[in-house]
Amino acid sequence: MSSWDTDEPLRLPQQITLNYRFAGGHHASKFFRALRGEQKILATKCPNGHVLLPPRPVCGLCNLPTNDNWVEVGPGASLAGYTVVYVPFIDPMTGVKRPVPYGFGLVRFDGCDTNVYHLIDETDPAKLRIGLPVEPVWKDESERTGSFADIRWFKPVEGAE
Amino acid sequence: MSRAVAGVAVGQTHHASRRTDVSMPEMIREAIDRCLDSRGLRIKDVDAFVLGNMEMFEGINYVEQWMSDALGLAGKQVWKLNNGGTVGASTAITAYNLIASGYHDRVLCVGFEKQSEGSTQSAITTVGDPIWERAVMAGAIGNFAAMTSVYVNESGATAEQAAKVAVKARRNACNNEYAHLKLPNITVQEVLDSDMLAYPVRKLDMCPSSDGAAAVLFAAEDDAKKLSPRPAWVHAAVVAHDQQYMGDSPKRLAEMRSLIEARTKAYKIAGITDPVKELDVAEVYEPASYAELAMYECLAFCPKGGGGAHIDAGVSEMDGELPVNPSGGVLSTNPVGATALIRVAEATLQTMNEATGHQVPNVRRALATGYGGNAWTDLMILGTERL
Amino acid sequence: MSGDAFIVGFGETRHAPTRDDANTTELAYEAVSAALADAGVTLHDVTAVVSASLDFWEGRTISSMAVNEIAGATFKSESKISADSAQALAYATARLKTDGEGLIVVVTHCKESQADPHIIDLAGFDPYYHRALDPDETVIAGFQAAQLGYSLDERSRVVAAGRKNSPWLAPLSAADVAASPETSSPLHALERAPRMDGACAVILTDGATAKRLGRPAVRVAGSGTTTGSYWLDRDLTSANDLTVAFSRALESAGWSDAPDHVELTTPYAHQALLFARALGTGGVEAFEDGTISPAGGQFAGRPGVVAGLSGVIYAVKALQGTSNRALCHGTTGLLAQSHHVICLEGA
Repeated sequence: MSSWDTDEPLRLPQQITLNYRFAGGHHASKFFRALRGEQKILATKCPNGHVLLPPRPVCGLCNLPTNDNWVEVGPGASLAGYTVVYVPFIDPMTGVKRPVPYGFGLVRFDGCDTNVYHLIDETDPAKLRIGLPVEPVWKDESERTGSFADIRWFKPVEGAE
Repeated sequence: MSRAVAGVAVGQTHHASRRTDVSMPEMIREAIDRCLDSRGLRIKDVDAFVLGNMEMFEGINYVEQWMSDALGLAGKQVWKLNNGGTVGASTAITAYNLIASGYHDRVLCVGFEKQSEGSTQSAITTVGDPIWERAVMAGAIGNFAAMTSVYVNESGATAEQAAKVAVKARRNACNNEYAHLKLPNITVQEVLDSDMLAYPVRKLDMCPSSDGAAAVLFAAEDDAKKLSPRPAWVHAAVVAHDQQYMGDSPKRLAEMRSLIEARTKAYKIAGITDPVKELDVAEVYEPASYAELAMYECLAFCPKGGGGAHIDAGVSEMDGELPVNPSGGVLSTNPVGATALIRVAEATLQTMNEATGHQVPNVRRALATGYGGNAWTDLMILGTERL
Repeated sequence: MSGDAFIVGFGETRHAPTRDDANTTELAYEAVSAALADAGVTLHDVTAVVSASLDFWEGRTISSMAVNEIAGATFKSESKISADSAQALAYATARLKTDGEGLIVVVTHCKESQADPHIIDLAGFDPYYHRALDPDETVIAGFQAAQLGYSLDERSRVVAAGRKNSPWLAPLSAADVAASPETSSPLHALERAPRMDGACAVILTDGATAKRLGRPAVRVAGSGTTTGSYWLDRDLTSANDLTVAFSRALESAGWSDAPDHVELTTPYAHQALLFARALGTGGVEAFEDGTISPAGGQFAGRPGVVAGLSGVIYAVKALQGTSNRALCHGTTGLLAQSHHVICLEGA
């Protein structure tokens, strides 16, 4: 029996599809060209030496412009935080539920002062720890679109303790 | 000179996973009517309205305008805010500034969300920076879990200690008529046995997703005294943000920079040097059990690394020296746009001695926090003394 | 001057139909850094930030997350108003009066090029009764224009007058407007203001700081706001909500009558004529001779949301060094459902 045949309040489904086309702008255009084309990670450096990723025009810690001062960081990195996710989550970029479990964490590129979230190629929490050296695993050139997902995930560096 | 401002009336809905019995405007009217009825007021007695929710959660743009007739706001002065989990507390802080400055006299704050009407997990993805962050997100739970690992690593807090927070919240909720998740018989073991959502956060460690609304009326000076027998005067109202991106704050929860900044400023304004002794109750925005432990530390309720010992000692229990979240907190009730206003509403009720069923005796000063955006903080201290 | 709020600097981007050279953060910083330089201050001097943006237009929940850091809000307060930026300036003024002193960045941004206007409108329509009809703002604007009965000539001339002094877009003749394709009878495409990308910022401070900075200052003397009925429930030929906001603003400024300079913001030409009539400031000639909306409002290429504060910037330039008064207007929502009015005074 559907709710139409009862006195229950109705629930009325509706779907709105929102499409956007975001401008990359100055920093992202430079960053994603280097990421997609050369597998290089570029960050901006503020006058007081803070290396910031994502790259940006202003360092909030110092309230100073970064003045287009770029440095390469990584590709070596370490875990600054981690989890293993067991609940399915709809991948925003594909609209498809990501298979579980998967590793997820805060990654700090060597030479950088901030972290970025990314997927981790390890689903046993006992094998993850803060400070664990990790390295990016790149998608094939044909799959790279100019997005952080051009890095498939980070995997623990072999032999690392 | 700015004017003294006080919270004078509170109303909220019965919060639930799905309020299919009412539309969003009908649900919000419940909170507004309860708030105004408690003081014999009508919409016409209010000068301005500050509304807060996340428009993309229910998919309604210009939502306050769509509801203007249904809520009785047509022709009124309306402010609409939207800044994530903090938004409810931001409506209160905005009301405070609008009244203290003399711009408005009576302001009704309204926070609301009907999470069952949208896809919250997808909507949370829209919080991420479209260029930099969305490609690799894992929802609110993955995000919290990753920062929880940092806190656990720093503090040594255990799963049992976090579970105690989860138990406290759901038991306290049983004394709050309006709370969503009430579990009178919940045990620490049950929390530890609940499904792992994202290591180390289990299902019962996490807040629910609720439909609900809250309303708080603020007024100035003698008008406040007329409206409430025991107004909750605003002693401090502070907002602090962090840097732009989610990974910028190195230790996230473990050293929540915006919360430390906000409490340092607020304690200074309110003349508080020993918060456990000088505050009588706190309503904090704890999205997960572990977060409350971290917040004890960032609010200086205990030394750094002492969050776990703080819950073990029972300080934050209903009969402890500084009860935290007598209402059941976010772990029991979470309609996002209302959640932080519920913290302010509960602090107001406690200060007014009107928190029926979960009143802490002799409250003179109460603290409320909001958490949202990129680890931002809204913080208010309310008190019985007019400053 | 204690308790007063003064605009001591402003900055504006090069507004354009698309600004792909800058993402939202960079676009907003372009405006903020220009405003700071204009006021002779730096991000270190900022005590708080107030922003205006709309999540649906930005494609982002908590759209202000993109502009906190570049406006100096790290570890400080940022308040986001989900409405036209004129209302954000009103809130910043209240905030400053509460604190008694400070230096507030008011920043607003919108990239209309990034979104699909029809879907953004659709999301603003009643989800129960209206959305199933796939309505568009253009359709109800057509209703309104038909009921108001202004001629195509009058409407086209208002658009051309608004475009005349645009720093960002080439001029457009009334004939061009009239010759553009019909969208929703009687409306023609160019009667709708162009969709633009842009940001602007002003620096607001207390009297003592304004004096110390020694920049020409303009006082925010008052403001008013009104939200009207949702469109189906209101008289589309009336501008009562605007007149209420207008009188609230005059009352808060302590002004007994309207000033000479009135800057209206409307997305449609017929609305400009309706609002001018409601304020008693004249018909199409008043737009052409610059008596009303000399900045050109949205027709000159001001993006929605940004338009209110951009109009304020135009008025501030005109008021600096004088003791004249100006009134600026912004709107939010479908068919200008909310009005926000700011009173400015040369100091």
